[in-house]
Amino acid sequence: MKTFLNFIMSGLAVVFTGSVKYYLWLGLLLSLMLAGAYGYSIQLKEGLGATGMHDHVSWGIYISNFIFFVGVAAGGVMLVIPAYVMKDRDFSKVVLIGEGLAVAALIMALMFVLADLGGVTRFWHMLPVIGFFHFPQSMLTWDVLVLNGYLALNLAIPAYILYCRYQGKEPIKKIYVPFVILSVFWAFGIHLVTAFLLVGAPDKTFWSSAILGPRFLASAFTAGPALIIIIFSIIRQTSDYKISDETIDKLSTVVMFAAYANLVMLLSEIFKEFYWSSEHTAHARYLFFGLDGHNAVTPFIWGSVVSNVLATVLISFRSLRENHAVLVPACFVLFIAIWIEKGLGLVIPGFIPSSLGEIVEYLPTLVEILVTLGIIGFGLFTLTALLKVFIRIETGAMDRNKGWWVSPSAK
Amino acid sequence: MLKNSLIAGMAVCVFAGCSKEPEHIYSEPLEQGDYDRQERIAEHRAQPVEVSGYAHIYVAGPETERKDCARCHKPGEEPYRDESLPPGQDAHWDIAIHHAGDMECFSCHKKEDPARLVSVLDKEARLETAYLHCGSCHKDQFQSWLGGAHGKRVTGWLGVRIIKNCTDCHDPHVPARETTLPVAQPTITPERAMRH
Amino acid sequence: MKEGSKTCSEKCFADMALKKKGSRRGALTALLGGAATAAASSASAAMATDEEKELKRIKRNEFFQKYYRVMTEEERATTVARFERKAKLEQGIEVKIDDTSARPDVMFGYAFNISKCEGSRKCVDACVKENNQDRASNIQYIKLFEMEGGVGSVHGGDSEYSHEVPVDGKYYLGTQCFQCENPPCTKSCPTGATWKEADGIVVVDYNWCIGCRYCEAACPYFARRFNWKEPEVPKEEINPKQHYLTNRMRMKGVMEKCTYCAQRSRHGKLPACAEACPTGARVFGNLLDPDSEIRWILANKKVFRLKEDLGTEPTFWYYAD
Repeated sequence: MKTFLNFIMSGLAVVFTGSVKYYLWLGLLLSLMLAGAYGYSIQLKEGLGATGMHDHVSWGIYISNFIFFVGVAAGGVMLVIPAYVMKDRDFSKVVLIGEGLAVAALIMALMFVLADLGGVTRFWHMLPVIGFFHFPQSMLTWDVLVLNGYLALNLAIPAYILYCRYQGKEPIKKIYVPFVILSVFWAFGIHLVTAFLLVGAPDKTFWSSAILGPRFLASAFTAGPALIIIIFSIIRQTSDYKISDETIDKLSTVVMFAAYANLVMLLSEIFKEFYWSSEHTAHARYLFFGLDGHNAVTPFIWGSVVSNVLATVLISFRSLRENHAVLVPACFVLFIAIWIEKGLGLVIPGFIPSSLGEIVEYLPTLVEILVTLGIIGFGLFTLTALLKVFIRIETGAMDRNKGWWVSPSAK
Repeated sequence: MLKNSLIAGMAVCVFAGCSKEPEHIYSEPLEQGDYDRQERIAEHRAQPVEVSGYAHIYVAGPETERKDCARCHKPGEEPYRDESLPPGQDAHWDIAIHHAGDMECFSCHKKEDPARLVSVLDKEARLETAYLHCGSCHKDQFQSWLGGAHGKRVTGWLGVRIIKNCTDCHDPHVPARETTLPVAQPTITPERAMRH
Repeated sequence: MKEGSKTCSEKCFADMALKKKGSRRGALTALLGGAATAAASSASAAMATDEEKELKRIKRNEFFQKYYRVMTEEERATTVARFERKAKLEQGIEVKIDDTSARPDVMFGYAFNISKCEGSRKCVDACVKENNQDRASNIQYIKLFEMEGGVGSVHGGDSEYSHEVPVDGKYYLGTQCFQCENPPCTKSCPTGATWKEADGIVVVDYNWCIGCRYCEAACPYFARRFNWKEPEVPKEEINPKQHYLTNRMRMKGVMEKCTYCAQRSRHGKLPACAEACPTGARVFGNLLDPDSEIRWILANKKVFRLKEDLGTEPTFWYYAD
């Protein structure tokens, strides 16, 4: 117990110590979180009317971001398969980073759902035992189960491994590998269930596609590893933790194939939506070309599709892919492109036109944007903290023999 | 005088006044908050529909009291003439008739007794049973009215069914309904909602 | 009429879950409630008047109130009395909150005559007044679409017309909650806060709704309305004849919807829209009564329902003369 307390204390010490640049980073995240808290206080007081949502577009950037970050969480664990199943040594070193990313992304996803609730204080109504958990009918209850389960898995596995390393012990494979394998299946589960949340709405024809689940997976396995490549390059620049070029190359190959799959499925959807145009495809027409002069999201989706294709073409060439000056920006572009396509471009057009054919557009308000930034700030903070502790332990700068105070020299 | 002769409309038998008890009633026993059946009938001055097999349906009395026709129109006599009216203006001079093209007063009103209605098939009806008269031409509407697809129920869905007479919604002289400005303007765009 | 056999498994499950819950929740509520009471009483200033204290207590009890469907008869009575008292304390008005449940052997149905409706929207007006909808954001359950002759889909309709009606060559089609026999909204609700009653009406327990708006996304008929802000109804316009599951006052962050005016229809009256309709285009009645007008229409008129292909089985039909 004492060791465990020490573990927590030294972890916290690690998180809050670092270079000037690191403090600037923390300061930025803190101001984002404060801005978010301010926005949320307005929303709490005024109700969801403080957002840009209305009865016609009843889900906005909160749910868009929720869906996107569930994807990032699922994608993060894609490193786990090669690491544990294929026994790839490179990957097993970095898999904890993927799990840390999954935790941060899940926390963001769950916070977005909470921010979207009209009666957040009544949230306990959906908890089993004290409330009424409408399971298995409601897909939302499924999502609550899989997301929290996944969060628990991704907290428990790295915590166990790191705690063992902190104590200088080797983690016992028999204990954690079954959970690792479970978490791989679970990663598919969270994103499929989240897709089914949308597919389950009977007359939202834009979402009502069997390919939506697989599409979610493909885009998740693009965006997740792309983000990890970006994180790796930051880690390589800011710490002495070794991540080999080989690892990044392998990851970039994963990104490339997932990006192909994503584009193929996007193309299939586009064919279905545009070859024969009907009332049911009005959503896609709105998204790509606008309807009756309403075209708020059109520039975003074209920007997304074009940059998605460009980035995918770039990383298709081996020489470019191995050049990190190209790879990292390409991954960044891919990540942003999928963010737009999955978030804004998927949720919002589903409501435009409405079920009764009315076209009412949606634009987020400042309050909504502040809350979103705040949540992202919190997520990045969580990620930074987890990675910092992880790197300290892995590089041996933090173990129980050194006490909990760490000199602020490293990182 | 056909005063007491009863009229048989098309496939319609008339029970003048002698309503028999309804064969079936919609209601289960009335609960607190429901009107009493007899009270409702009295409230709407309702009479059973004088159509064979439909005596369980009641027709509400007119919403506005009619003038008593018999004041001027005495059966068998020339109607009383209001001498104060300027020449060229007869009684009812202000009633315009726009009903099925070329109809005039005596297309419906009986010449000898204008309080009674007489159809093209020579079937007679009273003003209270105007539906019989209207139904002699508008057969589809009449069937729908009896069934419940046309017309308006003045009571709730439960209990005795009391419906409006044709002439309570349609002016028989100008049966087409007037246009109106709609109320309760919706605000479907958020910009508009904000302006409120 | 199908007797809802499709949803039997769902119902049975819900019933089972409901039965199980009753006992466990009592203890927990007592526990939480006790803690909250302690916290609140220590915080309340000595200056607070009795009425302020009472209002505080009412709000606290409201927060910990149970799911309506697991309440016992007595709990329902206390809850209803609490809301009546709250209206008195907060707004100084006497409201009567009813919690009459579904009548036996009644399944409500609605028929709408598209050749009779003139688009005057008097139904909308009556609905808003009867059901205490938020005036600020102008919540309306009923939408009337002015439709071009020859067009059958509401996607071609206009619901914002303000010119004189009816217009020659156009017809008017009204939508509202169709109280589906197989409702996607109730299935999607994560807390079970919206459900279908035995007489076919889909209701919301406003105090149980968490405001996730999944039901709004799931509804194919745009029938649900959300309280994006604290609803505002001028005191003198509040309809004091309320029902717990229908037109009692709502709060911000909860979903609401048409309930065929259960506060009226469960007492034998017509819904406000049907009563207000100047043309008789709206027919309401009991689908289980073979002599009802609605059954006559179903048997003798050509009828259709919106988006019948979805299998939602609305209890709201359209017909023409």
